[in-house]
Amino acid sequence: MSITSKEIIKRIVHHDNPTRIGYKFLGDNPTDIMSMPSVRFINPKYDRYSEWGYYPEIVSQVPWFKGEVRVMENGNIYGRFDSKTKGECIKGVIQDGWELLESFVPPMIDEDYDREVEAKNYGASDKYLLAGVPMAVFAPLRDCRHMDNALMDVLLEPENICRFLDITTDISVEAIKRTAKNGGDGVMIFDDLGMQHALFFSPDNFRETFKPYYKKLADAAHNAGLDFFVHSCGKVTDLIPDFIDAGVDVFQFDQPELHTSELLAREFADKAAFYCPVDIQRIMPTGDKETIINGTLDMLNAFKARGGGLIVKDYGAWGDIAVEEEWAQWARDTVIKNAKL
Amino acid sequence: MQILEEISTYLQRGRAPKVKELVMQAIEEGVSAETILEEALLSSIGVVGEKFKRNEVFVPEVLVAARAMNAGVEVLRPYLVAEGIKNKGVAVIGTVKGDLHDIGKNIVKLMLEGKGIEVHDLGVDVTADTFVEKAIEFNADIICCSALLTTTMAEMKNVVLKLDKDGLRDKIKIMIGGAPITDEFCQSIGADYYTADAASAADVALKICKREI
Repeated sequence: MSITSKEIIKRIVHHDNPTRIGYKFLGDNPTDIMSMPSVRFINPKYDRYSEWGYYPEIVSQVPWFKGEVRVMENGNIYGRFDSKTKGECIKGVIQDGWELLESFVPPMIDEDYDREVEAKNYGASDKYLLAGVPMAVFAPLRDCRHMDNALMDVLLEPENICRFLDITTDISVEAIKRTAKNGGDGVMIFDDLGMQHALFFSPDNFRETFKPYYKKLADAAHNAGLDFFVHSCGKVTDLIPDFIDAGVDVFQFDQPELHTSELLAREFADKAAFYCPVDIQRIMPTGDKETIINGTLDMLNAFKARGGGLIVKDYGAWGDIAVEEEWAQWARDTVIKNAKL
Repeated sequence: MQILEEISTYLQRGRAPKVKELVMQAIEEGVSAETILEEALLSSIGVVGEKFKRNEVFVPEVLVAARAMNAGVEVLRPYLVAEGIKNKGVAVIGTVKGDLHDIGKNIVKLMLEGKGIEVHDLGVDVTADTFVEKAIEFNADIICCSALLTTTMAEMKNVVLKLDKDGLRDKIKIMIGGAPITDEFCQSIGADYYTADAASAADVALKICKREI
């Protein structure tokens, strides 16, 4: 009897003799993982500004900005220049001072939306169901305080960071519980903790201030029977052991070759799994068939030599990084043809 | 001089109020503003920059040290003017049109200031015309362009073209940086310098200002 996609991914994540490398490909391509919604946040304080527009009372807070604005559920002002992009945070709700945390109104879970998700009966799928939790650990701090302040806070205001993260991670824990109730198999949070060549802050700062909150979310996921995925861009290699210690099951890296697949497999494939596209910076944009096929094979072979531990994925929007569909198909075909362990 | 060492120690720890206090004390003790600037403030931020380059310290340490340095420079400013001390050069910096990402740009700005360069921050979403207009207005030696997005990095070429058109390429150098930028891209658009990190950018900027490159 053949095993389901769900079982294949669970075996990979739990290091339980996986039969092949897993994959999640877009469109009509084969896939083991299906995305499902986690929760949707609402915030009555800001709901009237949730659509893109030119609200005078919001625009006046960012006089230097000339595009459309909206206010997200956590109170941060986002801006964009055209009608297509999702925008960027241009002013954080507590950016101007930690005293604003006293009046911070955190987002709430939209109960109507939760009932809609529950009614869809996602749990019946034979695919592995992965939900993105909309509130991570560092990302909300970065947006609410603005990046520069958040990074200085790491040294100067660790107690206030903890006060903030106590609030935000409580919300994430509730989102994780809802995902489990609605049939999910895993949850993923999206945090970026590194630049191209280095971490944003030291491993010691990570350990002292942030790691307990990753553990809080990992524990919540595991207690609810879910696997815990973490996304990060950047060179976060030095944080991987602490992430694993905190309970992270799967790392989602879009630039695996920043660390090198060989190192990820050699050092960590027995302790964690990796959920990665073929590198979106160094390999896929080359458009060179031989480079893409060889790069895909190198990644597969590195992990196959260590018992699996790899799920290859499509990048969310290849077009955004100028990768043509044909190039993506070279990688997909190579994975499917060579996935067997 | 012990007080300069103390300033250096506190600056590297990012203790802005203490740096301010000690700079004032040094002035009162008769140390020249130029000595305080060169031997305490700029040399210390240079140490932090070198450590950053070697991954011995991280962005937060650079930010708090730069903030402490700026606090000290603010105290010194009237004394520097009185002593006739000039900056080492002038740069304008910004994130290119269509791009709202500013962390990299902000770090480069701080590192350039740490080399004694006067930096005018044009913010984000800066057009090629604005880069060049402001560079002329401030009599800048350098235009620094930052981009995080592959979709916006092309705007850097417009800065090169605008500067070419205005006949200012010999006078003003163009430095570019950001996650998607490479040396090959720099050469392909005809910009002058690409650096991979903020500390290297500051080194190159200082050489430009000193006419060493």
